[in-house]
Amino acid sequence: MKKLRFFAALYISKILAWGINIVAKGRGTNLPGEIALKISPDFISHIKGVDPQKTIFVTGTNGKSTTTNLIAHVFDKAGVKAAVNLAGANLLAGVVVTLMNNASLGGKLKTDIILLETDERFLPIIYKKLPAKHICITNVQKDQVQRNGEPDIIWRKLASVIDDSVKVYVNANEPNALSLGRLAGKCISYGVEKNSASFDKKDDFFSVAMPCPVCHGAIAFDVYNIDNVGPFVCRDCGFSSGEKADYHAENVNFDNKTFDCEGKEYTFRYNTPFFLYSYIAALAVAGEFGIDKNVIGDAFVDFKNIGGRMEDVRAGGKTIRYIRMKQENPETVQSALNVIAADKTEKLFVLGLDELTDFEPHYTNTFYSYDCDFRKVIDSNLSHCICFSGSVAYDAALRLIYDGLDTEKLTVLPTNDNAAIVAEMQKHECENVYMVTWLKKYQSIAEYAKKHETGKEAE
Amino acid sequence: MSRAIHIAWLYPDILNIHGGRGDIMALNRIGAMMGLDIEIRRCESLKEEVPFEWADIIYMTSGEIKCMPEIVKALDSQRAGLDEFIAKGGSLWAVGSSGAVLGDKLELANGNEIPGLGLLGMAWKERASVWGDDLWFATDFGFEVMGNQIQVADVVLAEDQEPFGKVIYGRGNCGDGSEGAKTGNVLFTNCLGPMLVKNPRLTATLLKTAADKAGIEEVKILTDEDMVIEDKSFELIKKFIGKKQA
Repeated sequence: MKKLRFFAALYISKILAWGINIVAKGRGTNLPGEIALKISPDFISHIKGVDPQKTIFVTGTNGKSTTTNLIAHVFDKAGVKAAVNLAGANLLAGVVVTLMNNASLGGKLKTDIILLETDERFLPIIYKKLPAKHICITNVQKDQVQRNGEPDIIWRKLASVIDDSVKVYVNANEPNALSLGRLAGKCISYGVEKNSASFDKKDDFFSVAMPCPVCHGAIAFDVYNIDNVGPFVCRDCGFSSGEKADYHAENVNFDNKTFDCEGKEYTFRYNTPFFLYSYIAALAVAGEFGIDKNVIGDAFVDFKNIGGRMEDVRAGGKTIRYIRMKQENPETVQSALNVIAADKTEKLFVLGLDELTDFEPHYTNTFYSYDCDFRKVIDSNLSHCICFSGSVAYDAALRLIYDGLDTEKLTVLPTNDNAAIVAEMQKHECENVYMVTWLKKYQSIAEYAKKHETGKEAE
Repeated sequence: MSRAIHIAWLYPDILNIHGGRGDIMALNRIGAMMGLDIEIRRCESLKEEVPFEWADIIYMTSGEIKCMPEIVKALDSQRAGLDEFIAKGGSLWAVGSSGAVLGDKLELANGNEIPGLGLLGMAWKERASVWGDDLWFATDFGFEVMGNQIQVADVVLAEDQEPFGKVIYGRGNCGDGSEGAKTGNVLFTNCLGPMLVKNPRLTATLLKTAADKAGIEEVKILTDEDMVIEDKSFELIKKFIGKKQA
C-alpha cells in the first residue's frame, strides 16, 4: 500500500512539475514536493539508490546557495552526476522535488550523488528523512532573529544531527561552525589565512566579538577576514581556529583573483572575501570526494553564480550600484559596507533599512545595524547620504549619526515611495551612487527606474 | 572639578547580540550631550574582577541564553562586592536574555534549572519558539519607551515584584501586560532597539541617577530639541504599530 502511494506521489508530482514548468519555466517551486509528501509521507525512503554515504548537505546561516552551486559546478565538470536543488528550494518539500526530478519512472535515482542546500532550521526534519553522512557547514551567525532568536538556537539544531557517523566540512575561522566539528566522526576544516582584505577592530572601543561555543567565555579574533570570521582563540578555554585548516587558502590575491591551497594556485572569479569562503569550502568537499585538483581549478575559472550580489541599474540619470544584503543579518550588511568603503571616489550613499515583513507580526527592527560598523563608509568620501523607509528612516539615520555622520550630509526620507526616492537622488550631483537595501525594495526601485528611465530616453 | 560617570560594561564579547553595544554608545553620546564625562570599562573575561567600587552603572547588554549560567557563576563569586554596589545606589541594568542573570531561576529548554542571582523576583523559562515584535510601554519615569523584543524565554514576575513598565503594544514579559522588572536601581527590560539610542530620555534618567550617586551637580537637562530625530522615529513607529492594530 505504501509502495502504491509512493508511485502515485511520484507520478502526480512529476506531472505537476511538468505543468508548472510549462506555465512558469525555470521557476523553482515546492508545490509538487508538498503534494508528494501529502500522498506519501515516506516518499524519500522509497526512492531506490538513495545512499546517505553519497549525500551532501550544505547548511549554515550565510553562503549556502553559492557554496552549493559551486560544488555542483565542480561535480558537473568532473563528470559526477548530482541531484542538486540549485533553485534554492531548501526545505523538505524542495528536497523531495529535487529527488523526484532526478528519479526514473521506476522510482530509481539516476544520479551518482545527492547535493542539497539545506535550510539550517529545518535540517533536523530533513535529516530524519534523509540522513546525509556529509554535512558542509558554512557558518552559524546572527540571522533572522525574529525566528532564529540567537545563533545558539541554530547551533543546537545542527548539533542534533551530528554524531560519529557523520563527516562534516566546517569553516575553521567561524567558531560556531568549527565547534560542531567536535561532535562528528570525521571533521574536515577549511579556512583562509590573513590577507589584504583582513581587518581588525582595535580602533573601535565599542566592538564586540562573540561567546565561545565551547565554554561560553570570550572569543578574540586575531583579524577578521569577514565580519566575525577569521583566525580566533577563546580567551578562557583556548578553543581556536588552529594554525592551519585542512584546506587553507593562502597567498590570497584579490587583484589577480587567485589563492593557493596545498601548493596549487586557484582562480576565483568573484573576488570578495565573502565568496572566498565558498570557494575553499567547495574545494574541501570536492577534494574529499576525490575530484582532481586540476578539474576543481578549471571549474572555479568558469563558475558563474546564480543571482549575483551586486547589480547596477540606471535611475534618475545615475547608475545605482546595488549590493544585496539580508535584513536582520549583520554579516551581509557589513560585507556590503566593506565593498562600498573600498571605493574611495566620491559617492552618494542610499540606505533603505525597512520594517521586517518576512514573518508575522511585521516589526521595525533596525538594531542589527548596530552589529555593523558604518565608520569606514562614512570616511570613504561620502558626498551625501539618504535614509529612506516608511517606518524606520529615522532609526537608520540615527545609526549613521552614531558612527559620526555629519547631519549636514544627511537626508531622511520617511517614505518608501519610489518616485520620491529617485527624485531625492536626482537632487544630488554625484554620479557614483551606492544603495543598500533589501532585495525586494531594490527590485521595486529598479522596476520603477527602468520604466521611467526608458520613458526619459524616448523623450 | 567633578569626576566622570563610571560605567562597567560587562562581558561585551560574550553578551554580543541584537546590537546591544548601541546602548553603551548611547550612554557615551547622551552623557556628552548632558555635559558629563563618561568613563567606560570593558570587563572582558568571566574570570575578571568587576570594578564594583569604581562603577556607578553596571550594564549587561543582551546575550545568548546559553551564556547565563556562567555569568551567574562569575557574579555570584563576587557577591559581596555586588551587594555593596547595589546597597550604595549603583545602577545595575540588564537587557534581553541577560536579565535571567538577575532573576530567581532560569529553566532551559533541556529541562535544566539554573538559579539566578535573585536580585529581581522573576522566573524565566526558555520558550519552544522565538517571539519577535515591536515593544512599546509606559514607565513610572513619566515617559513612554519604544523598541523591539526578541524573546527566547518567558518571564513571570513574583507577586511582589514591581515591573519596569506597563505594555502599550507588544508582549513584554509573558503577555500579561507587564514589562521588565525594577527594584531600586536594579532593572531588567526586554526592550531592544538599541533601547538607549531610541529612548534618550531613559538614557538621561539612568545617567542622572548615576550623577546623583557620584555627587555630580552640573548636569545639563536635555530638551526636546536635543531629541528631534528620536522623537520623529517614535512617532513614525507609533503609526506603524497603529496600522498593525487596525
